[in-house]
Amino acid sequence: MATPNQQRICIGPKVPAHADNPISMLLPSPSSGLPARFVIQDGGLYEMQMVDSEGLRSWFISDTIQSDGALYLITPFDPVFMLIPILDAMRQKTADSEGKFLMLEGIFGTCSDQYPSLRHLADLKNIDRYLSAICDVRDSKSAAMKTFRLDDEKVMGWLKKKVDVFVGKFGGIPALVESIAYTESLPEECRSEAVTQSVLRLISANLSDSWATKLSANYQFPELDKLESRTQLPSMSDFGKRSAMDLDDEPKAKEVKKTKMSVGQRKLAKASTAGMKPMTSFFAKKT
Amino acid sequence: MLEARLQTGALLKKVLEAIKELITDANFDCSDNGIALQAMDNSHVALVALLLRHDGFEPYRCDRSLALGVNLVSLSKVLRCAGNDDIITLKADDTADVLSLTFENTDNDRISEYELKLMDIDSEHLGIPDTTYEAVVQMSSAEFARICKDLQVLSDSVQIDVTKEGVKFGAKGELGSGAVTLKQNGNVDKEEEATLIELQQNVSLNFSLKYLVNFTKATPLASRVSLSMSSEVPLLVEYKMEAGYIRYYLAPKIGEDN
Repeated sequence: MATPNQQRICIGPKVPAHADNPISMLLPSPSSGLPARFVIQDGGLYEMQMVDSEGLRSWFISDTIQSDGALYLITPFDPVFMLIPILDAMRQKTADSEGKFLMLEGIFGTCSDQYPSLRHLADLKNIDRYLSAICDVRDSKSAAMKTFRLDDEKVMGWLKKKVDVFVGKFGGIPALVESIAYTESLPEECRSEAVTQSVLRLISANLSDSWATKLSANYQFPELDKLESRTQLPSMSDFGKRSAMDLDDEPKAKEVKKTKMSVGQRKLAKASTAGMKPMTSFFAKKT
Repeated sequence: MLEARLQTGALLKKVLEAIKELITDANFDCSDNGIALQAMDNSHVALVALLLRHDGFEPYRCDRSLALGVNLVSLSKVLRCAGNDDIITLKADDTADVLSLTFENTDNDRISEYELKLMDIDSEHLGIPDTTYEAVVQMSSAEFARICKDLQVLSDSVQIDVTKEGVKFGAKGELGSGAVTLKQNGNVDKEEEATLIELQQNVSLNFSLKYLVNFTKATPLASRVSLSMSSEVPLLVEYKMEAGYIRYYLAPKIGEDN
């Protein structure tokens, strides 16, 4: 951060007393590979998102004003999503080889000149377990000599489990339930398919395109497909479009409201006031 | 704190219909005397002054003077939710953030409550002196409304000539000309329709018909209207209600012959 004293408004998890200082860094986003801001604190990985004020807003903090009006959101991030693309690249899989096994340092230490911060991932709590969840592991005598190689089947198994967990928790998150509100009047099979579909979208948001396609190939939505052929369901992209349109419309509507006149006033606006003096020339202003 | 209960809700509905066509936002100035409003139209050539005296409400209570800034279109929309026979109660506390309206229908025990957000409106009050006018015409308000509407077909402005014989409304335009003359009469049988003239001096003045037609939105409030005129001062069109009035002032057109 440019100025150490800079203050920011941030919503994040509760930090335990005596926690290490957070390490903020740029890591490749698991979905796009582009740099994104992450934070590591106390062995946990967090994703940082910023609601940019674009310089148009500021914060009032008791008696002071902070010119940076951005809002930062820090949320826990499952490191496995981060590991998948890294390991995928590192194993150098080819048509006739399953790729290389690598040691911990090998994975994070040398993997990228572009993202030196990746080495911090090796310090994450339980990194072994995360790696084992998606990798073939070759045990050596000493723990430090363990080697890992990404295993497609394990990845898929892990992702499917993730989907199951999300489906189980889906009903407890109002925003998600709302996203499938259109199925309210539909039969139960349809609803559960819609839940799964919605979860897939959520999870795919943290996967590269190729993994997202592989994952969704494991799920079919016969009931929803039937429905879709009958009625055109609003797709996710439509929601985006609509809300973008709404945003555009809103300021316009406000402008119209400002100049809104009753029918009588519109008629008067057309009246010629030539030769008529304003009221203020006849009656004095009261003080 | 304001609390004003109006037995005939229709009155307030009509008042709003009468002023919302002329002005957009205005302050209702509440005092122990009653509820008053004064505002100019967008072009500042006309002015409306409304007074609903305290004795028109039962009960009426206003401890401290309050200015309730209201968007008149919004208020008239809310009032459309009230039935004509409803009892309307207006309430506002001293912060004047909202105006709460209660509509009671005693027939079917229905009570509806609305709250209207208020706003801050900068308004200048004009001091209107009591004047003796050269000519005052009292006539049927429906007749006045009809004349203005009829003459509007011909022209945008009307010439009003008042003599001791009667009052003449004349309009001249591209498609022709027209005039309506009402003779002064002491029609005892139909007092409501009589035209009465008090005259110090003959007057002849021009006014914008569009504005006069706008003023006639107040016709349902009173069966009589009075037009008070002196040369080179604003015309006063007054509708008197049981406990109050609505007065419109309109600048004469000067330097036009038609």
